[in-house]
Amino acid sequence: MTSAELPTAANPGPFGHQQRKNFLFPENYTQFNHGSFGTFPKVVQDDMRAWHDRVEKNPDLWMRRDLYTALDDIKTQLSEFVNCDMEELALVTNTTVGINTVLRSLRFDPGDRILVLSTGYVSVNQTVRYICDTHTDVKVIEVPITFPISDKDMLTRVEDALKQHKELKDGSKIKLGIVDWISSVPSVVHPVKELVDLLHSYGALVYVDGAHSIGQVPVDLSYLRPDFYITNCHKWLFSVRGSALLYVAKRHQHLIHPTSITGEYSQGFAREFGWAGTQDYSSLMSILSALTFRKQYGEDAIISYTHSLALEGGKAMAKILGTQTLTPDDHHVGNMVNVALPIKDLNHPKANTKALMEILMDKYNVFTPAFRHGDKFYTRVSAQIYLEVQDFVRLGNIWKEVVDELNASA
Amino acid sequence: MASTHSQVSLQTHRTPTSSLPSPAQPGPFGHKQRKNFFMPEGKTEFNHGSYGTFTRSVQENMMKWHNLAEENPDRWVRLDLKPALTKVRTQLAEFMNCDRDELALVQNTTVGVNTVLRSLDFAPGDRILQLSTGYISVDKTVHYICDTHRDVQIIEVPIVMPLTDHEIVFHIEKVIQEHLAKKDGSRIRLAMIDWISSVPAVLHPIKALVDMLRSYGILVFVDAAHAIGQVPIDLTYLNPDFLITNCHKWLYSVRGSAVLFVPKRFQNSIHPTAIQGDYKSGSFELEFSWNGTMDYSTILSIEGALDFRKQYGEDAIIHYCHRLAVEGGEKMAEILGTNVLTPHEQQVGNMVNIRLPIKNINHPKIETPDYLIRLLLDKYNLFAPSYKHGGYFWTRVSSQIYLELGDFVHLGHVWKEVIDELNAEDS
Repeated sequence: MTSAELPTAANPGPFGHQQRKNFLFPENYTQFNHGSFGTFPKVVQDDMRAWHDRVEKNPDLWMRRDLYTALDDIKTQLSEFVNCDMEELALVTNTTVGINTVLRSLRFDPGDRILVLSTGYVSVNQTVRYICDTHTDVKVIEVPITFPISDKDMLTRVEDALKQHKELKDGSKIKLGIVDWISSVPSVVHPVKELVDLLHSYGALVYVDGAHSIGQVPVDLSYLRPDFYITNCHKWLFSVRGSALLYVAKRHQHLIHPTSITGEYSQGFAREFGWAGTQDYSSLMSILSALTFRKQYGEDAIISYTHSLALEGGKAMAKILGTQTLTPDDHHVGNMVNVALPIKDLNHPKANTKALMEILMDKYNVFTPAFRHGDKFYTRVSAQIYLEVQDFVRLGNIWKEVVDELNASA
Repeated sequence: MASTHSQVSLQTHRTPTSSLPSPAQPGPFGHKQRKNFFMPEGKTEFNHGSYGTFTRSVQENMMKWHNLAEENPDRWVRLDLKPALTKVRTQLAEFMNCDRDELALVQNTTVGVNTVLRSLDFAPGDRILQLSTGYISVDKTVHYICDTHRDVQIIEVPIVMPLTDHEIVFHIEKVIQEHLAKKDGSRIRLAMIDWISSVPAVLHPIKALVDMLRSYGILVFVDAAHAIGQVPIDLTYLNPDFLITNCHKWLYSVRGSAVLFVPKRFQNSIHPTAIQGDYKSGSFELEFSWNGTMDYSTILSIEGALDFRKQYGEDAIIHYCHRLAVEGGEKMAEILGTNVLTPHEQQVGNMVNIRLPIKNINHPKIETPDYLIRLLLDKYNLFAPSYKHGGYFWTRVSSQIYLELGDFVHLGHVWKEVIDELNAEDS
């Protein structure tokens, strides 16, 4: 398909409201926050249930034999999807587990430093904090980032931090850098290839937190060449929650062990990460039907539509609110767009995520997270194949009402 | 003080045993239960102990939670999930007689063991005591701790059945005393002890063991993977330092649902295997109630499992399964011309180990489990694990409410045929 033929916000093709029936939404509910917990089509749920039933007919055969064939099949398909060697992949529950898997396996010596960006996800930064707490003289170097910022400026900021550290000449060493591919709140697509190369050039290992990447942007790990990479299939790939993909470059595999050591300890990466103890593997199995569902349309079509919708929808909302979106450049937007909220008093008691959430859910039966960044409030909206521009218009009007009321009640 | 763990001796169980279901009088149990589960026609499940199974009603309950989440994922995760998890913990706290806030819901025992072991601050000179019959994942986790710390070592107590309860306690205490006598500056910091071991399946004298170990100042982590739903649990009475049990084994919840007990005095130092946003929030509950985005319906299915069991009562279920294991084991031993592993009935919960009369203990076809797994499943459409212990070959059979004595007789004949064939190959 040429890009001229791919679905867009203006020409949804197979997407838009006609997709709603493929999903599990109740009649009166519109999902604007796919980015937080994802959702999945009915066929994926049906398939998950089918796996569940199949296993129960013979749990021994499943746990002792067929599970491994199925896991290998999934890893093979995903390795094609993300362009890497299947043996460099492991299936884990979610990004938090993936981050902990690597960070709690790596050996950190006194003097080691871990570089993160201030816009990194809270669980990631807390895990780094835990590593610092449990080691002697291991510290975090946090690069302050405020959006909007151009790719060039972001890279300069990070490089400045690297240079500053080098100047210290105190014997400490930046062992690992953790960078988002697409951050959470605010949601911004980072110049991840340049970040990986920059950190490598300073001798640091790089862990790409790609929680939001697979299914939202094309992923090519042979091109990107991170040391470690984690992505949630249950976010933008449409699998059931609790299905994520961890990439560990072969040269590091001997160092990395699961967060829960099992009987396969010391048997090599593939075996150590094959068996995670007794659990319900149906979430992981659902990756197969998620891929099948998406193949009907093709990745290009899905990504083209959702990206275009995020841009157009974001513009429409900003117009209604009389504000702007966070990122002036289109390439910083994947499927999620951050729209500024015209809240006058930033210290208003209701100007916080929780209070705004309650109003949205109780009064309007919608939800998009609202957060403060820099000197403004924003809300993050997730485009998806089941949405259309008019949904963003409706959401814009809802937010306008909410903010007007808030401003009036100062 | 009770030195054995009698099935109906604890304060919650007052029903006279003569009125409870038994192999001779199954009451609501036996083959009529099959329709409540997923077993296909012609397949009998003799290995409940490995991976458990759940009822159709429990699966419905799991799907209810699954669908509820999908109706409004944000509302579910941000508002409704934690109260639902708290309700499960409340029910389990009542079930196990402890404080609800001392419980954390985790995926399985392996996770529970790693949670504690990878949180504890082991220092050079620390020793970790374990039994040779401990579960492999636990053993490997202890090895990992030793690999990643300086001068932290394992002290392994060899346990070869048959042993009486008294002998088990004695063997372990002797090893502890031998260690003390060395006076080499090392200290036994922690002991990992099975309540009911896996292979061989032996119900240990757990109260006596906990008391004895604590009397030496050793922290006790009870691996109770098999306990809940198989034996009554009273954590106030038992008083371990840590305990983990799988609800998806004998309680009938869906796989991926276990509960970890961490008394308040330790909660500051115990963190999840996956650190998340609530780290250092000061709240054990917050740190453990959210494990990142995952499907919580398997954990919540514990509610469905407890509901199913309430129909019959714990006493009835436990009594039937236990009597069936004991009598079924005797029947099988009779058919095979052998014996059961455990000298005393109180060492059997719902799993019984029967000796297989193989002539050559080094027969090539039993060097790995593969041949027998395939043979039993493909030819006989059933499975019970087999293993070597103490120089002999055994099979472990799990009784359940969906089994009857006739099933054990059938299995006995199957094993006889299998072993006779293996013995014939040899000569």
